[in-house]
Amino acid sequence: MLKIEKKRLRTWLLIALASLGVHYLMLILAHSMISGGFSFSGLLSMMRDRLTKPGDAERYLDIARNGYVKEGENAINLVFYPLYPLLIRLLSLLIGNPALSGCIISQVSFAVASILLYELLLLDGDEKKAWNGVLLLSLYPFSMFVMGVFTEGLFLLLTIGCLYALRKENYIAAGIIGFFAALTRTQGMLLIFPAVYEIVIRAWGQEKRKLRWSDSCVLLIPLGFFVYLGINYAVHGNFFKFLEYEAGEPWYQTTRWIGENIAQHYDMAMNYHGLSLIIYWVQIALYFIALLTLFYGLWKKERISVLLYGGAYLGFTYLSGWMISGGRYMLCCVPLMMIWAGMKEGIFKRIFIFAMGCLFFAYSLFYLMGYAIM
Amino acid sequence: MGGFLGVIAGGGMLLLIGALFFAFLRQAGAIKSGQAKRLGMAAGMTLGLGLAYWLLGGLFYGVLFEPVAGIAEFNAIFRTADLEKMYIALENPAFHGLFSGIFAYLGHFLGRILFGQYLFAGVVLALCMTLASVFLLMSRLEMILGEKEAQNGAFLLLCLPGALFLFLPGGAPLILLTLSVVFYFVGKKIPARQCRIPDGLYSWLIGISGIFSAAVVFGAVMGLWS
Repeated sequence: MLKIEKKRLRTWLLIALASLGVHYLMLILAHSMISGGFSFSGLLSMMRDRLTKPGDAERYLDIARNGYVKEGENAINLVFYPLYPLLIRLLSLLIGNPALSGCIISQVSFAVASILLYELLLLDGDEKKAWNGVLLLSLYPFSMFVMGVFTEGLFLLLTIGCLYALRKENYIAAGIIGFFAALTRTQGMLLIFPAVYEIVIRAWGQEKRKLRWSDSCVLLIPLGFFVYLGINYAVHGNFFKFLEYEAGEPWYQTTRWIGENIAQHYDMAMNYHGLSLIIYWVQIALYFIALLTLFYGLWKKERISVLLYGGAYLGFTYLSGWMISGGRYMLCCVPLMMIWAGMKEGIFKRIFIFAMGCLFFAYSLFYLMGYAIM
Repeated sequence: MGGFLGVIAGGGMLLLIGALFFAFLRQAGAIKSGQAKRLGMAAGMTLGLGLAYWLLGGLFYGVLFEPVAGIAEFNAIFRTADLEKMYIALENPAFHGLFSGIFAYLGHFLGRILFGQYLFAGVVLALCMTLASVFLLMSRLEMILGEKEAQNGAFLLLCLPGALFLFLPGGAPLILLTLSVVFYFVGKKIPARQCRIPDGLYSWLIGISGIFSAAVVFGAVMGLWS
């Protein structure tokens, strides 16, 4: 028994090292190519500049330091969900550096998320499929955000954790983890779909399992979102204040039909050539690749609850008008990696993995060079 | 091109939702495997022929008027007087015929769910109604004539001249759905019988239908039918 446990622990350590190792390898390579040579201080400087300052990073750090404020230019930080900044604040009480805390939380979360993904894929597949999933998650072209002060690492951990708990029929754990996922990102509340599906299909399907009180714990998932609404009310006296801020500067986010948004991405790609290959064409391509992947998953008879979450995530993400972070958002559409991991071995799969590696480096390099990837 | 991509993107998402719902029904045991196969066949026929009519209209439009960029703007491509009225009615519903009026209100309601995409909702609704009709017809015909003849009959129906209008917003899809429901229940009384259309004759029927159907599509593009 002890031997099995040791072997498992070794595998987990290997997964954590491999998943983070891929990213550190990319960072070292990118830094060397950008700077024309390697220096440790240069690498740290690049990491500090590009992983803790750009985009939303400064806003998370501001929330961690000062909380949500009612007035001033940082009042709009309300659009960011509270769990990640709260964890930064807690860890920075120990180590004294919020930016470093944010990076540690992200990277450790990503490592544990990779381990959980491995275990989740192992439930329905073999070790090869499980390792493929870990690889594809690490090589996703916009996965560099898991190294910095962004929510992606933590959200991946909570999403995969919830899906794993559902798969093990531990609905109490699924509800609690999903609650925290919904407190991390809006998309977290979409975990209610696979949760309810699993329970309903067990009750109505061949199993005909009787409903238990513990099944109702999945209702904790949307509760996370309601807690966030409560924070809106506590700070601004308006449950939906975040929608007002999202619709204004600098995001101008609205909710529009997917087709309209895709058409808009196309127009932007044709009019803004500098951004077309790093934002708009990427978002268009990602949408159709994700859609085809989900249909492929249906054909290959992947777990319906997983496909349901993937479809809900994709649809919800692409309902956002004026989206410019689609590449980053789709990193957390875990069902895609799960389906890709199960692709039949052959030349197509090898080309796919090779292309992922190339694109992972390319977009990481663009990001580290300061291009508008956010 | 952007509009075209948008329609494919939005339609693809609705198709995924439909496919997942269908998978749920299968897993929950609400659909038996025979029904599932029939539904899959009906969906394939409806969507395939709908796409064919759409592309054919785009071809006529692209050659006669503007380049292919207009292909997503089916309200620009298909322009009969009734269709023009329906396009307006989807946004501002009003009764101008029992079936057209009901369709307009249903399409408007669906359009509000789809964030104001009224024309798109109209096409989606027409496709759903036609799909349901084909499924019901195939189900009943299978009991009367057999599986192969049921499939052939359903396919022939969708190829008949004028079937174009089953794939566009209007009263036609709703009329077909109503008749299909009536036939489904009344048809229970019709005894099973042998009725074989020879494959060769069937192919000729499909081919000749194609010629006439293309003529109807051409007329719709030119705005000839009123």
